[in-house]
Amino acid sequence: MSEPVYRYLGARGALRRAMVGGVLAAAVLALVPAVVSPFQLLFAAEMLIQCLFALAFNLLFGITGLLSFGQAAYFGVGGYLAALALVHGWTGILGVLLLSTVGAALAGLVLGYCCVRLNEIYFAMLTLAFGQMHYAGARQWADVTGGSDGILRVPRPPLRLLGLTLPLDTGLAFYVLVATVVLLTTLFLWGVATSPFGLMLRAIREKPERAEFVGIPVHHYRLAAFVLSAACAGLAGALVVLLGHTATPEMLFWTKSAEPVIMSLLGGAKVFLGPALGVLVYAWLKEWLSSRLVDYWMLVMGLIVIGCGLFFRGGICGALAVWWSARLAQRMSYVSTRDPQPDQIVRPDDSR
Amino acid sequence: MSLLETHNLTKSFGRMIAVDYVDLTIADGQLTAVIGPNGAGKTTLFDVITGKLRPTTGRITFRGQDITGLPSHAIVSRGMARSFQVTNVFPELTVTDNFRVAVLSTRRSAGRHGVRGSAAGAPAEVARLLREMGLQSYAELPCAALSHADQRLVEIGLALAGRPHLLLLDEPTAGMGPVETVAMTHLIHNLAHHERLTVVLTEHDMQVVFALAERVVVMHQGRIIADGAPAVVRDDPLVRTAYLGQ
Repeated sequence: MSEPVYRYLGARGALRRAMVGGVLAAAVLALVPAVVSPFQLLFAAEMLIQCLFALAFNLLFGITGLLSFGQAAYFGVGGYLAALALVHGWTGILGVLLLSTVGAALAGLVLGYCCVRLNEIYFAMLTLAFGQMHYAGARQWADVTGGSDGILRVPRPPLRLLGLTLPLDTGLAFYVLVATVVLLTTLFLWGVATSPFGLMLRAIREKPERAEFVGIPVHHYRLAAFVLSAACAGLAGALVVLLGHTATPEMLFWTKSAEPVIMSLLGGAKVFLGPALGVLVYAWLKEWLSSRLVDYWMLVMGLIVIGCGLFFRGGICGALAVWWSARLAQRMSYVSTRDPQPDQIVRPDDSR
Repeated sequence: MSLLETHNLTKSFGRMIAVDYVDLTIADGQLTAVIGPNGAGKTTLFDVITGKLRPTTGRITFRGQDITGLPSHAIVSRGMARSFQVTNVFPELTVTDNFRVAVLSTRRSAGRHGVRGSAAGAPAEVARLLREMGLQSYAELPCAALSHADQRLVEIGLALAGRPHLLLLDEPTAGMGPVETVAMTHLIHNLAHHERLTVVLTEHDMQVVFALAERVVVMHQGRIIADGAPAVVRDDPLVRTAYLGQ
């Protein structure tokens, strides 16, 4: 029994890494309010929500290999559900978040059922079509959604937890809520990605047909990933509505669906936290470029994304990984070129 | 006792009939080679049997159960495994993870079918596959970094992970050099005779066929034109005209 196999299969190592990572991330998130202004704190909360949205998208894209161009639909469903519930007098904020998550998951279940049968470009086109249908619905169904104005003046009730009532009207309090929700959901997604279920998803990404022929019901697994991704996108949408006190049809527009695609490509879709890095880089680039180029910043951003697609397929994380493994290979002459020996292959016979 | 039976199995693509009323019975424990010129319908026959393609007409029975029209994953979880003509592994996953996927997915389906199915014991099973395929030293490498012949071994390991009753190998030695071909022939021989696995393979290399097969089935234009012991089939005049072109 070779030692490396056990090391690799050990779930305990994964749990320990999750705990260490979680504590580190919590420490970093706790330091943010100490170093930024209250206004920047709201910006930080927005970035964290965007991270959640991008990581949820990447469960489908980077891990399962499905490029969805309609994740804004679930972001919007979650956001509108939260806005409607709050405007109609719901006061339990955790209940609202749960409603948005479950509602988006249900939407993902119905629409995902239609989408997961398709591959590649057909999947992308169908998700885009469903996304735009949601956008049109949000604009046209004015009696409920407020039409093109959206739902304005959404209240942000206090958080009631364990008998305590914590007001969320300060930037700091709301930041703490967002940071906690995003951190917990990210840890959950990490657990999914590193579980046996996540391994099956990666196998499906690599070769759907081969996955089917080792006995994986590919459509069921894809649908499960789709529902999880939609649920987390819905949660992110609800947080955005709480942050800005409004739900607008732009939340469901296709450009909102394109954001996580660009962020994942920039940061690196094959690495779990790559899209989160992409969110930071995207925000920084947008700030830096738009302060210099004003109206043309999108043009340069487009060129950067094209450059990523052509030369840095794995994004920033992918490029770092390639550089790192090249160094490692140099040090250890990592890749063996030895041919298989016949006596090695017929080993079962020898052991008898 | 027969493990696999096909009745009047037909697959047509428009006017092209790729598999034409094939009645094939595979006995338990027998090593059968399906041969025939390119385009004879061998791979299509495998595709129809394993559920990749739906048959146009006909029935397929596996271990006494009708499996016609079932999705591939359901057929695989009933104990039928296959390899592909073009190497088909998970290239970016490590060899260990390739085997893990296969082992865990069989255990999952075993759990659904009421057999003990848990992740417990999976590491031992993965280690067994690495050992039997002789791939321990490559365990942590991504499959894409392996040589073609080693990737073929990974693929056979994937098929063996579920401890199948029937193994279908589509041209297992395609693209291999002479040394690797001998090694693969040994491996298949061991699987059939020591692991008591029922194997059906298609093959172009006649040396491999006559070294391994206990029974040879010859296909031509979608039909079975000869079926029997290797020596008998080799001397069959119909086979010589159709296949060997003499």
